[in-house]
Amino acid sequence: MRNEIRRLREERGLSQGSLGAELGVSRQTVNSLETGRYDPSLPLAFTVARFFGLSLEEIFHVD
Amino acid sequence: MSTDHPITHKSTAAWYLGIAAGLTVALGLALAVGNAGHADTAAGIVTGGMLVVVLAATGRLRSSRAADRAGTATRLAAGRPDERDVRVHQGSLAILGIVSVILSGLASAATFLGVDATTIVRSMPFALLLTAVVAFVVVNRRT
Repeated sequence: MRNEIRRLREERGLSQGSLGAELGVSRQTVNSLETGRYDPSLPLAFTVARFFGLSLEEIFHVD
Repeated sequence: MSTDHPITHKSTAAWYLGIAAGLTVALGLALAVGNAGHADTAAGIVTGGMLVVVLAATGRLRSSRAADRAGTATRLAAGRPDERDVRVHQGSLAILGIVSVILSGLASAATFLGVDATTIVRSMPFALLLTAVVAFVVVNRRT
């Protein structure tokens, strides 16, 4: 599953660590999400969407 | 559904309980082995048990004071994993489970071929520990 997390994070000038702190996950988890190695749980996906003020469909895309 | 606490899977109490349970098992096993006349092995069990506790405590301290630099294993040992850490843990345990079934089957077959059963049984924990470490590293890198 592709996602827009890296672009959205960089647009806001956030580091992976600071985004992780905002989302309540580790820097490694943010990195894995951005590189597509890890698909988030539904609660985390909602947390990401809520943080960026977007819908799930605007952030996550099925390949 | 709540997203208030999406990452915390273990409470502080559960972590201390796990450490206490681990210590109890290690000390109990060491006592039993020591009473059976294997003092060196008992000492090894106590040393290994204490080492695990010290590593877990160090991990917990590190995950508190240097959360950015803490790795997956550190957060798991500290009882403060996020959801990816839990996924890595579960994935590596799944591999360990499959390998343990295969290894036990091979070990059983080996006894029929004349291999010393005591040697097999005593080497099994080391083989499984190695499997666990390799599985964890591989799953962690791929997740």
